[in-house]
Amino acid sequence: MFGYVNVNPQALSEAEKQRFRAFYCGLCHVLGQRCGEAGRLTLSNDMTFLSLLLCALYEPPEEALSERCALHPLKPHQAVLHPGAEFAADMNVLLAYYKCQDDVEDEGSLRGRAGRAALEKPRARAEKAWPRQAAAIRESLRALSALEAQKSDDLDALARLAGNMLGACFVWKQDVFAPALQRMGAALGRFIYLMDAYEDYDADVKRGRFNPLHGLHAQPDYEQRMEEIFTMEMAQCVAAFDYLPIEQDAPLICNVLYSGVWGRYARIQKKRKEAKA
Amino acid sequence: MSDPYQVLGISPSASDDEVKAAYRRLAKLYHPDRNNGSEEAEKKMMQVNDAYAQIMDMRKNGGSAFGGYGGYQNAYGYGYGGSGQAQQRMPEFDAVRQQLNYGQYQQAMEALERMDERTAEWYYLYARVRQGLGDDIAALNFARQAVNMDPGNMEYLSYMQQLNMGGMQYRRQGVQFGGIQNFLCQNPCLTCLLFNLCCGGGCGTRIWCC
Repeated sequence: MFGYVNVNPQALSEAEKQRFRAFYCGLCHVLGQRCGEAGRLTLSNDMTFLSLLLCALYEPPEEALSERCALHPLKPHQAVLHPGAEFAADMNVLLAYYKCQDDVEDEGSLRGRAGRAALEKPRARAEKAWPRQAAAIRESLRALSALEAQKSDDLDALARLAGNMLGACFVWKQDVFAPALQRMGAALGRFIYLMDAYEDYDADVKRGRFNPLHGLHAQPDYEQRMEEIFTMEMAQCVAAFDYLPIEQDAPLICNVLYSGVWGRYARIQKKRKEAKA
Repeated sequence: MSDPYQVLGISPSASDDEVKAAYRRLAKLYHPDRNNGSEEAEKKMMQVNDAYAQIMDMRKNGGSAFGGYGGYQNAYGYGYGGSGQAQQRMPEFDAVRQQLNYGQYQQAMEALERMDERTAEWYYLYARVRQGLGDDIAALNFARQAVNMDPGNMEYLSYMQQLNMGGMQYRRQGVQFGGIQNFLCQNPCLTCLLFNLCCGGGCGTRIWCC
């Protein structure tokens, strides 16, 4: 889930870059406050994006903060605090916790065990505050593991589960915008799942690990089809975004949705080209 | 029920951006924090929310590539010959086409899956069935298969285009924000750097790997 949602810095002004950064630092700050240092370590760009999106949608009063942190001890930097950031932080913790849990169940990972233990307390609190989201994450993951264990290559079914997970995490309030936020998160979740399978394909084959794209990969127009699928998912994501009455930070959000999310894809293409040459 | 445009104080010809701006203005005006929890303001806020949802539902569901599919069926469902070329429509698919038109996707899928011969038409119909069941990826793939097998068939081609319409618009619109260009993400996320969560395909359920 981590690492696919990002900005395209080349298409951003300096002010916009700083703005995204301020949401990143703001989320980090909230994670530290609510969950301690272990919480900070789970900080993700995905949930930074969610924080930015919720702030743009609800336009709450923002609190600006200038602070130094362990990672950047010398230069103080700006951080934005707003109520939606707390929700995004809780979702961040839940996703990180269940990632650790998943690692433990699948391979008895030691790191997973350590992470799970460190996040147990904040997880319990976040779960109590957001039972619906927590249940969606748990249940989607369980179903996803089961489908993968059966070596299912039903891309719609697999991606839908990943989408349910992120879709639930995007819904902060049960209001008129909940369905659109859910659709946005779901499309993004499907996109991320498929991009991940796409990126890992060669490594999976090498290790004899199952990859749900194996059927498609055999097609002569595999690359074109994958691009079509990715584009379709993001088109559905922006269609849901267009439903929302957002003006604040809209260019920054669009940078992520139209360009930033393709960063990894571009890097994969480049790597493959270089490998061929 | 009152006219949603009237509630927002705009004309029905207002652009989407104007609708959104009107909503934002009124939402601020009636925000509970600004009205000391006044019941009147709360009522107004609900009306504004409903009006906004009503207008956007009308505009977005009517105009989207997937939502507007009913019209497409009528236009191309029967007897559409394309570029003067007679389209082959096998009678054994008549029942399936009928089920498709009635939205009986599950039955249509079962009927198709019982057939042995997988012709271009079979893939085309199977794509439409899967789309009806909400399987957009499968729809795209089977439609592509149909087009690859019979590139001259206008019915398959226009269906394929229909499926890709949202994507084409996305790409056009995306250019102003940087688009799908070649740029390198120089900063892998912090989580990966610190915890080394990157597992290159070695970890459990796929969604986590980065």
